[in-house]
Amino acid sequence: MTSVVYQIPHDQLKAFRGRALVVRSDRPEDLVAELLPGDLGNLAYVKLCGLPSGTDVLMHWAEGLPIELVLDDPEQDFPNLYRYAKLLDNHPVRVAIPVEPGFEKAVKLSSSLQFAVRLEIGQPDALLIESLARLLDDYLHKTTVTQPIECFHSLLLGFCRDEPVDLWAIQEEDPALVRYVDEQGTERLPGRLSALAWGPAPEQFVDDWGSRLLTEGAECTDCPFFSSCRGYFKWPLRDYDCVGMKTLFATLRQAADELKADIAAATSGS
Amino acid sequence: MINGNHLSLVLLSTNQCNAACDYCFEDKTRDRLSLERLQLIVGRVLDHMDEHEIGALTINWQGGEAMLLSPRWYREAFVWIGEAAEKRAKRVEHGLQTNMLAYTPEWDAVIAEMFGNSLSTSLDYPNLHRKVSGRGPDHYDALWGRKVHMARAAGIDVKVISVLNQGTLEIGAQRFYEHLVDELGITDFQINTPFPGGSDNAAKQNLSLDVVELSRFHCELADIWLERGLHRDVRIGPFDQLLNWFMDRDTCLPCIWGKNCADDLIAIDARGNVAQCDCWVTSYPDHVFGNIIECDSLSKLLRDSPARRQFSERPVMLMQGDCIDCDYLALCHGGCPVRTYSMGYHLFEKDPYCHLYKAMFGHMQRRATEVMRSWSQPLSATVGHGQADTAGGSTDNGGAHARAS
Repeated sequence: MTSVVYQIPHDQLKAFRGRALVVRSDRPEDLVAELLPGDLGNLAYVKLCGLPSGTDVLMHWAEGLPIELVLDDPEQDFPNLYRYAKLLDNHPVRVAIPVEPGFEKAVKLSSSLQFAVRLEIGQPDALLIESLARLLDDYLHKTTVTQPIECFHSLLLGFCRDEPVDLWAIQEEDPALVRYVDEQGTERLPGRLSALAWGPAPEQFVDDWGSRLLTEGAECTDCPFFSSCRGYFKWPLRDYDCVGMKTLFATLRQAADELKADIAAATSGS
Repeated sequence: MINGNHLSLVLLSTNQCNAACDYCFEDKTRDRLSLERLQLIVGRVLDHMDEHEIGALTINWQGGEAMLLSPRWYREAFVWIGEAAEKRAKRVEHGLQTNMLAYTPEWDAVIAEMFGNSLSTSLDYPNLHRKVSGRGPDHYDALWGRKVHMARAAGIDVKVISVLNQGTLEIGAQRFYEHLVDELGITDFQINTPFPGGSDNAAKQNLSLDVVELSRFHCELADIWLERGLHRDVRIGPFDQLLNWFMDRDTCLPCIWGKNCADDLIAIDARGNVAQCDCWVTSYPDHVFGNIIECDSLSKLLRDSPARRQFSERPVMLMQGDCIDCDYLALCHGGCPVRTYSMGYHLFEKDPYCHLYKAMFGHMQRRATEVMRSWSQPLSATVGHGQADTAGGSTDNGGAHARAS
């Protein structure tokens, strides 16, 4: 059974100590001061909000612990990523980037600095889909992109291995796996669901949502990617047109098929 | 702040030189490091390393001309630095950049012990600018050739840096390669682009090269190397490292293409002046970070220096220009500050050799793909190298972080 990961602000550490955690702060020195050596084993990663200064204190602290940098305004903030490049000496670093106008540059620089990327993809409009398509092409084919870009990366791996993948899990938005704890210590659903009222069985949310979409005859009914997506792109606006996202998924599946064929050819030829 | 796992220090043991090369970017003085001053400097460097938990130091010894101090001086420096570093559990490696004019067999023991029996020297072909005072380039070449021959006979590995000039472009890549590899027997060299660093003179005003011709030369030399040198273990920088990069191998690109050279490197001259690198430390007083002799903390000096802040900020500022749109941002990051500045541009502009770099990157990318295809590696030819290891990755959403390590 997979344990739930709690995304908590650093000052809620005392209440959640001992559970699987992601701890967030906009003050790196607070993370260093408050996280004890015994906490590190339960930490999935630490999240640095607002691109804070003073990350020198993290350089040799908890070496190997993953760090996520949160870009609130990718178009404005992306050049500042250079200030965090040295963290890669001792930490895996991922950048969380909302898919909104200007995000492409942030992804480009993140990849160029060897940061992994997690796209907060939401329900992108047609222009953003075009940007995502260009980005996906770079991810698949450009040798200058050497680090994972999520959700592309996990989807590609899943398609390659014919293994089930779950977009809600990839995006860290499945309440069965992740809970968000707000600044007051209140447990909420993760990501885009955080404003939603806490129901009786939050761990059932994704199953229930997917079932509801199928029952109601949504676009999902005959979508070839529903098993991976489970209605992710129908939240919060249920009438969101998934045609663009389906194209991206199809591109990923085709790339996976080509990659499998390459692997098979290489294996048979060796 | 320089705070990672490793610090590179370019240390000028003397600001004095026994050559009088027209295009030298350094402004020479007669200053030499005494052992006492060296101990003070290295002590403060080690203090900085302690403060920032930096475990490893590489000291690249240069001048002026580094061999103007005696082998005995280096031997004593080596012992003292080794003992001081060991007390603080730091690892130190040493490199030597020398014009070799003062080389004698008396150097062999310290070169073996301190520098791993290897050194780096410089030679241009044709030589237009390297000379000793009152003599011409031919005299320099003959003297240099004798010294290199002696050093090689003693078993020393001699690497060469070669700065290109108009004459190099005129003789062409084929002749250049033949001279260095076939005639001089040099099997490990790096080609550098010229820049008019330091105080102005007539030679520096004529250093600029047509960037299209320069690009053609680089691509032709790369092809000659791939055809004739690669399989004979000849290494030519930066082609060898670019090939590695595009073949997803361990790569050490030259400092001009680092993410931010201010994060990794400083230079200290024989007066104790601290600057970004050897190209700045004697030549541009306005860009000196401070003096390590006069300041009791290198960390404080680096932290408080407005000049250093400019270097730190350069890549950030460059993102306001067109570098962010470049396919090769991951390799170049806007290029070299001193090439930019010395060629008349603001520090916050990209390297004027941009066109050359793009041409070279594109060429080496194509050639790397061809090399891989010739080795029947269909995976690499199909997708980017970040995605070619699907057999060993992870499908969970922590996979990205796992791979990033």
